[in-house]
Amino acid sequence: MDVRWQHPELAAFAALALPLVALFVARRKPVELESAYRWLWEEVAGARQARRYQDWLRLLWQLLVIAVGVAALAGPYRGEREGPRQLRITVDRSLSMGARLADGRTRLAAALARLEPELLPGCLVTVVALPEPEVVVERADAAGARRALASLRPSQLTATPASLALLARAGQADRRLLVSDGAGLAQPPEGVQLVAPDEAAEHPHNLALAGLRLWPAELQRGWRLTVDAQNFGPRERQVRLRATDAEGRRIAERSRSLPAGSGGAMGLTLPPSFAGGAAGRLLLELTAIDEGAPDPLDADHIVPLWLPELPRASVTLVAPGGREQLSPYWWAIMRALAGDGWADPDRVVVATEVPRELPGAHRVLVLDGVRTRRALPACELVISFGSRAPGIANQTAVEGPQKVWRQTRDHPLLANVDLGQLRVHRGGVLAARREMTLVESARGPLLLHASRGGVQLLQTSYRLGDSNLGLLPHAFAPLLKNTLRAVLTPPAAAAPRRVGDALPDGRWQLTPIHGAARLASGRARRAGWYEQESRALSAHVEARAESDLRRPALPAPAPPPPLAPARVSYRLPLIALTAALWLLGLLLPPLWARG
Amino acid sequence: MRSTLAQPAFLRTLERLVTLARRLFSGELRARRERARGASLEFEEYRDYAPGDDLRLVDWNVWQRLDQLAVKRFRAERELVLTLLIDTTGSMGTGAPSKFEQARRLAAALGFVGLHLGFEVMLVPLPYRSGAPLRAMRGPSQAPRLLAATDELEAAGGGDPEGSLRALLGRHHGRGRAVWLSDMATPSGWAEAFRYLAVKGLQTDVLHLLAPDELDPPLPLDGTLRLRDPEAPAAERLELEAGAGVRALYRQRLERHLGAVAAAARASGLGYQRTASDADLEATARALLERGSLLR
Repeated sequence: MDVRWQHPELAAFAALALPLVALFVARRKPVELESAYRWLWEEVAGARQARRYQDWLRLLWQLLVIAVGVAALAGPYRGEREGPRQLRITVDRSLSMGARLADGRTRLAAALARLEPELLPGCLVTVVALPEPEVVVERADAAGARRALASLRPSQLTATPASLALLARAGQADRRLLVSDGAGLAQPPEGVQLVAPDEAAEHPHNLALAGLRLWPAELQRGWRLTVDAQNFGPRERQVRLRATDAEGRRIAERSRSLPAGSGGAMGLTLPPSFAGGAAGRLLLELTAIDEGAPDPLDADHIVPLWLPELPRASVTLVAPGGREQLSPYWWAIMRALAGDGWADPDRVVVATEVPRELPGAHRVLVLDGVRTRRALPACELVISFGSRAPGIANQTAVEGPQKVWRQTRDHPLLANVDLGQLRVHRGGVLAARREMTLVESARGPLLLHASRGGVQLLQTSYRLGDSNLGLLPHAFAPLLKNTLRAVLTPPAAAAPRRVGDALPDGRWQLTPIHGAARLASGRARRAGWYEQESRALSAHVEARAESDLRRPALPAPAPPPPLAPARVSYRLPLIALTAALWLLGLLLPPLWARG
Repeated sequence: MRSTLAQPAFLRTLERLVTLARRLFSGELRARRERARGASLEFEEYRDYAPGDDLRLVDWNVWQRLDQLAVKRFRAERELVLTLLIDTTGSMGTGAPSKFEQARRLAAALGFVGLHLGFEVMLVPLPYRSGAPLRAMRGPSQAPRLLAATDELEAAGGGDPEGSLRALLGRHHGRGRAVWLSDMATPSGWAEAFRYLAVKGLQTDVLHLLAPDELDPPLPLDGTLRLRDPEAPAAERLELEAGAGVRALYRQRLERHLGAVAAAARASGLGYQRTASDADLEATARALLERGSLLR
């Protein structure tokens, strides 16, 4: 430990110890006494054996008190700067930060490791993460900041340079660090030190599927898949996307060049030969090729994507206002149902009243703002919001955000809500009797699965608008999706391989991005709508690819200059220690004499 | 031979003590004189001649036969022997004032009184060297010799009280009175000596001498205390840390020792008196005489 002294001249006070030692030596000069009763004195000496070293101990104790006191007066300290150091760390945990380095670490982990010299004792650290702006810790100590940083993982989203710069420069701090790979940043914001992973340690074949969009959710011939590929490698690569069916027959193939550190979208249109329907299974392979020949990549770098077999279940939607007044949640529900294969959006029946019975293969009944006394028909699942019907708790009422659609167009259902971590700060209370609690909140059950009269009921007690989830608009659908997974039987007898199942652990991160389903009465109308939406989405993705995702390789950022560590003074602890030692020195001898 | 004890003041004290003793023991003296005029001078035994003995008592027949001077003793004499046992070990020399000085003056006083009351007085230093002649003095005319002999005594060396007494009483007839002046500064041995004296039939008074600085030692408040034993080699010194508890511990153990000595003396049927070395000589001797058992 590098300790310095603020007033080294005070060490002269150590001379106080000299008279103490002289006094001790003088006192140690023995007093002669002649006695005839030597054996009595020997008994006395035996009874006072413990006192033999008492004087020495007392002297040592006094010297220790003087030494500690003098040290306290001399003002020992460590570090250079006065006062605590306020450090603001903005962490870019966008998709590109999940790219792997040669040693297997992600860019984020590698960059965070370089923060260690900055986290000195006495620091007050604020950590902010992007995207999904989130203050991870506010004015935490070094240990707390270290823990918070270790918990950060790369996200599936992208963070714009503007938002990074904005967040990095916000708040009060005397040192600002931006943990990022520099993607999209022409130069670090003013006053902000960039902490980047070592580009030289990048994996030479850093290639990832950034996202997959199926449009619409189920596979049909003539429909289109859009894939975002990302080249995190150090050089330009030829990337090929190949689709094969379950038997290995090639269905479609697309390749394009991706400059180093950039991403791009590739679209595949399913040819007429594609079977589609229930048998429609698709294997997508993302490989890097050089000059037409397959890149000598190991198997880990071929990304197979099995798409699930889609079920053909039906959904009956009961909405008193008809299609025109559907709750925004409806779209989320359908996305959840269709995306996981629980329901077939093509077989959605919209009713204004609760039917007496449901046609065959109807699995799900959705009630949207229904007031009825009629008993619900038998089905596999009833989802209710804003409804009052027998078997549905009064408390069941969900009001959703008003901008679901716009939000999902930007980031369609990217939320990945961990039910175990879900926190809701305000909500109703569900009476939990014989129901299976799916999500428990502090005040009671948050999400219940109940079975009444053979009808599966899913009840929520909270208002999404009250939730403190980071992604309010996106939270409901995956929440519902995960809950459905827990409630319903699997859509197919043999569980299909899901997107990403075949991925090697920790090497790739994929985001299944499901297309939105929408009701349409006629195929032509639906096809037109799909086409329109598809074009809009493609344009959006392309535009983003040009701005956000195109990442010119930046030179490896210079390591941050060492900043003088904050000064940590030991004066007060030493003064306290001196006082404690002095008090002990006063208290112990009488106790000793009594013992 | 001029004794250092033969100072006018001291002699006046002795005279006062003789007067007191004569008054205290007048009846005893008269009976003894009547017994002496009768058939009380019955031959009892021979004993070795000691310088100062009346030459008329020397049995010249024995000298002719055995070439050894022997003095005849008679029955009346055996009750008139006062043996002064004085501890001359080095420990007696300690204390301020010295215990040995007080013991010497007390012995001189008691012997002086004994001579004037018609006792045969024997001054025996302890430890007793085996085979050493026992000096017996009789009559007031021997008083200067008694004082000189007392003056010659010196406190030095160590000794075993029990062994000394065994050696002494082997030569002693074991009758009469005795006074043992000692500081009893040995951890053990005195109890056995007391018992041995009782068994031999010697009516003994134990005069336990203590110096004031032994009863209340001048200890420093702290620091180191180095203790020297006058009977041990100079190198054997005991060091201990002084402090508040030392005095109490010492006093506690000293009281225990003194109590044990007194109890052992009384258990053996001996008289016991404790006196300090700075106590008034006349008062101490007077108390001893007034107790009545010493010269009766």
